[in-house]
Amino acid sequence: MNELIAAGLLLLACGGCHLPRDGDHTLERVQHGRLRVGLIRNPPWVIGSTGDLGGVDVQLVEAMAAELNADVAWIPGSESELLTSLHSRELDLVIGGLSGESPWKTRVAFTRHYYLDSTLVSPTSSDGSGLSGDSVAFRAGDPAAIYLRKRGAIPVPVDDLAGAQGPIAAPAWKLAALSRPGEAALLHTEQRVMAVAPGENAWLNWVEQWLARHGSSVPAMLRAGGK
Amino acid sequence: MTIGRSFELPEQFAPDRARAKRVAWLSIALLTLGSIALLLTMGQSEAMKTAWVTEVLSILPPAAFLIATGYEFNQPTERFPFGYLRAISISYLVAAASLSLIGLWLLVDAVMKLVKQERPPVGTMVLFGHQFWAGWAMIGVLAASMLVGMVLGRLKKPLAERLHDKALKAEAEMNRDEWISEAAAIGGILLIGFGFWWGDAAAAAFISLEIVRDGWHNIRQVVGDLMDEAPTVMDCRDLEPLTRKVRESAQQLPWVERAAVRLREQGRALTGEVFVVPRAATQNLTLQLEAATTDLSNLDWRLYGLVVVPVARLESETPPRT
Repeated sequence: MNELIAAGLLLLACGGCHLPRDGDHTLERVQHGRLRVGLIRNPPWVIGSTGDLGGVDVQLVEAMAAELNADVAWIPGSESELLTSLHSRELDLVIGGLSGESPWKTRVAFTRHYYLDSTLVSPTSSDGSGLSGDSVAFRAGDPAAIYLRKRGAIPVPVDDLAGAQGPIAAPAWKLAALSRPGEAALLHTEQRVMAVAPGENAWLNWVEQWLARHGSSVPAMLRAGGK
Repeated sequence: MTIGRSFELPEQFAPDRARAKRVAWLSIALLTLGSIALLLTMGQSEAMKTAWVTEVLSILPPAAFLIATGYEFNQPTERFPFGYLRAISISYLVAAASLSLIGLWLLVDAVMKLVKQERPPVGTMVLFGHQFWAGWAMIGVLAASMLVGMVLGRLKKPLAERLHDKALKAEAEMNRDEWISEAAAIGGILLIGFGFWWGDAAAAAFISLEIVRDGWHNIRQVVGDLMDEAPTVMDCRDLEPLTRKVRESAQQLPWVERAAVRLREQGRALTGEVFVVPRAATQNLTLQLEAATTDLSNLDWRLYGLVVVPVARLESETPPRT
């Protein structure tokens, strides 16, 4: 038993400060090397296509790559395609405003969130009755409908929020872009994360620490529409 | 003889018993805290998940012990004329069976992770404004609950031996297995840290094997108890010499020609029958039987509700060996 403890302490003493390491040396490889980034088109996180790329996540990765002295290989694709490749370490990073609650979180390594995306309802009814019974417009396909229904509101799908009358449910940055009044009720918050190849823990730790340092610039990028 | 008398622990064991109860409460409290801490730091590590399950499972035996101690010395009733001594065995059977099943499930889970080569991601966590590798927090929590397991095991073992309490003994053993599991989980996390992804699932597989082994061991013991097994020596499968001792004492009584004894374990107590063939000229047989019952019961404090039965003839003194 005592030998075991001694061996453990020795192990920590010689390698402890450099833990964790990658299973496949991703961090070492991308430094001064090539960073393979999967792109899921999802405005304002990933906008445009190869040659004319933009978006919050793209800007973050560009800054990250500059710090790593890495060349970025942008690989566009669908979420399931890219994350499947990421799971087998054919990619190093996948971006596109991924939600921390995505069922993929057990198959690939999600980073800690770099931004908390809040969905708000604006304007709120002034009689203090909450959302109960109100008709609230939302962009068709937005999961906001689920949370609206839970609160007793009647979700009304629309194709374009800009033309909607009355209260709408949308992310805070979208409301700002539509110059809706500041008074708004919080409907739901979602974590925005990036996905890293699983088991590459030095790389995962590096990305998380980088995002923790630079996450504060995300709101400004969102205000600029990711451009 | 009174049928409704309940088994009583001898006076001298009262402090030990009170202590055992306190240790059980302490176990529940510490293990609950430990499982919350493990849950909070678990992440996606399979070894952490398995260690957490062991920690949660090891809350069961002290809880079963406390529930059973509330019942086991209850007065026999019309419906349950043999008393409630087996309450402990029953709570044990349930706990041991679920333990084995959960262990098997975790084993399959860990092996599947190895086969599918699932690599465990362990990222960073933020505590008091510092961002660091979450593996360190996991190792810290595992080390703390390892210490708890060690201390609890040490507290329970001597108590179990003095009280002849197999349930408590099994509990002490489970605390031992628990801290070994946690040591294995620490090994698994360190292996992840060094980039060996298989370390996590391998540690988890080892821990689940420990759980299965533990459950199997307990099932065997408790099934023996429910099958009216003869008293066995604590912690091993050898029969206790007590049955022979009672028979020899009975045979030494001047009015007894031959004697045979059948004892079984009922929880903490030993019950059974003594069959005697009285010599032809025995006077006052009833009084002699009464006196023999008292004397033989005094051979060991665990003997309870012993019955001495006069018979005309005994075919054999001991049942066959197999």
